[in-house]
Amino acid sequence: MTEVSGELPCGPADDGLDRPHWEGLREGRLLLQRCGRCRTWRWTPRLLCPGCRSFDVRWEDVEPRGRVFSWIRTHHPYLVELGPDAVPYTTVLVELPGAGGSRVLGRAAAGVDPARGFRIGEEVVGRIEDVPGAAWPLLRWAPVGTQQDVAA
Amino acid sequence: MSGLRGAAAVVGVADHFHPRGQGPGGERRMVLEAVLDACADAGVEPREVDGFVSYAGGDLTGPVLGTELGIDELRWSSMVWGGGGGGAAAAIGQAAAAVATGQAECVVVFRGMAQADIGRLGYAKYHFDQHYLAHGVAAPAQVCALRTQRMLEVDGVPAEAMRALVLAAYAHAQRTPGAVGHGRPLDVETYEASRLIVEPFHLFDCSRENDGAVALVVVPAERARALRPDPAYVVAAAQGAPGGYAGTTENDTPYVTAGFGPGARGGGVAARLWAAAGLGPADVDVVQVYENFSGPAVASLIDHGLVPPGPAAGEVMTVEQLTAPGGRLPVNTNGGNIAGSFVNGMGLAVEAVRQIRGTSTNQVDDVRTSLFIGGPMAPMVSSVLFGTAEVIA
Ligand SMILES: [Zn+2]
Repeated sequence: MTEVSGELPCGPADDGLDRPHWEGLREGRLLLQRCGRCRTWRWTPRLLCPGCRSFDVRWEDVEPRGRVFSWIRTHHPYLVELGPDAVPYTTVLVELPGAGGSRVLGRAAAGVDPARGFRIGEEVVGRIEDVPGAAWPLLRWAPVGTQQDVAA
Repeated sequence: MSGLRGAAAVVGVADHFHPRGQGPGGERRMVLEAVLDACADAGVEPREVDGFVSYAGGDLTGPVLGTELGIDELRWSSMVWGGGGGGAAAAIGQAAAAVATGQAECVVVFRGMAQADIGRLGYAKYHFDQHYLAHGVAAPAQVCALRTQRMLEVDGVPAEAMRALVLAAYAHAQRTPGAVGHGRPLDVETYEASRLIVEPFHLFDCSRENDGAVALVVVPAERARALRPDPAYVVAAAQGAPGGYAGTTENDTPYVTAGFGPGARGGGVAARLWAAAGLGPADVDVVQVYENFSGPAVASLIDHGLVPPGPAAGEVMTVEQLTAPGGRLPVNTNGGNIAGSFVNGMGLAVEAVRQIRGTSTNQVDDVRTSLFIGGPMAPMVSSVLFGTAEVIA
C-alpha cells in the first residue's frame, strides 16, 4: 500500500492514561475505561469518574460491534502523514451498546471501500488491524452483513 | 435580568484586514494600530486605556500593550480561558464586567492574527490527540463536519440552510469594500460545483484565513453617553457550554448543539443570555454569527432559538430572509468569516456595533438590538447582545 507517507500519529499519550487501551489493541482486545465503583463507562480516558467521583479505574473488554453515530468523508489532505493520495477517505463515529453507548472513531476496515458512504444508525463490526505506517494496531469498521463480516 | 444590563458600552471600533501572510509588521504592530484607531474612533486618549482583554491565547498581555501605549495605569488584564474562537464574545463580556463593577474604566478588547507568527489556524492539528489523528481526523473542519452530518441526517436540517447562509454572506460582501468576496458574487451552481473539503462541507462552507487586527473600546455607560450619541450598550453576555461539551472525543451528550444549548439539567449559554437581557430571539434585529464553517453557524442560530430545529430550519434559512435590508433575519452583514475576512471572528463584533450605529454597508432598518455569537462547536462558546439606548432605558 502507498497510503501512508510517514508515521501515523497513534499510540499512548504522554501522560500514559490511555496506555491500557493501546496495549489491549496489541492483544486483539478492545479495552475501554469503566468506573470500578458505579460501573459507568467513560471514553476517552480520564482520572476521575464524572458520575461518582471515584478514582477507581478499570479497563474492561468491549465487543467491537455498534452503530454509526455520525460519519464524514475527508477530501482535503489535512493529515500530512497520510500523503496526498489517501483522500478521499471516510471516518465513522461508532456508538458501542456494549460500553454504555461510548463512541469511538475509526476508518473503514480492510476490504471495505475507504471512501464508503455510511448511514447513521447502520450496524457495523470492528476489526483490530495492523495498518501500514502505524506503530500500533487500529480499530476499523465494516458494515454488518458484508463479506468482510461473514469472513470473520 | 442581570446587573450587567446596560452598564457598559462599546464606543470605539477598528478592524484592519490584510491578505494571508501580508500583514505589515506582524501581530503586535497590527494590534497596536487597531487599538490606536479604536481609541480615535471612541474619542479617548490611548493613555486613558486601563485594561485589556483577549481570547484564544497569545503573547500580547495587558502589561505588554500598556507599556507600548504609554497608559497611565493598568487596572485589568484578562484572557478568556479555553474555547479558542468560542471565547470571542466572552472577551467583550469580561470587559463589560470589568467596567460595570468599577474595576476598570476603559478596557480594550482585541484580537490580532498574523500567519507568519502563528501558522495556519485551519491546520491546528495539535489540538487533536491520537484518538483523532490515528483515524485521519486532524482539523477543526472534520470535527465540525461530524456534528453537522448528524444535524443534517438525523435532525433533518436541510443542507440548503447552510448554503443559504453562505450565499447571503456573499450577497452582503458585494456591498462591503474590502471583503474577500467583494466583486466575486456567488451563485447556487458555483457553490454546488465547488470542491468538497470534508463532507458535508464544500469549499465555500469554510471560513477565510487572513492577517489582521480588531479592537473595541468598552467604557461604563455614563462615559459612553458623554462620548458619542450612538454607543452599543451591552445588554447581556454569556459564556460556557454544557458540562463536558466537546472535551470527551465526541462523547458529549448534547452532540448536535453548537454549544449554546442546554445541558442535561437545562440552562445553557443562549438561555442565560436571553434571561439576562430580559429579551428573546424574537426581539433580535440583526445577527452576526461566527462561521468557522456554515454548519456550526446554522446550529448556533438554532441553539439561540432564532431558527427552528429540524426540517423547519429551511423555512427561515433562505437567502432572501437572511439578506439585509429586507430579510427577516439578516445574518453576517459584512460578509462574515466566509465572504468577508477572518480575525478569529472579531470582525463580526465590530459589524454588530456598526449595525447599532447605523453605519453598516448593509444596514438593517431601525436596529435596536444586534447579536454577536462567538465561535461554535468549540469547547466553550459565548454570545453578547448589543442594544441602543432605547433598549436599556
Ligand atoms: Zn463512578
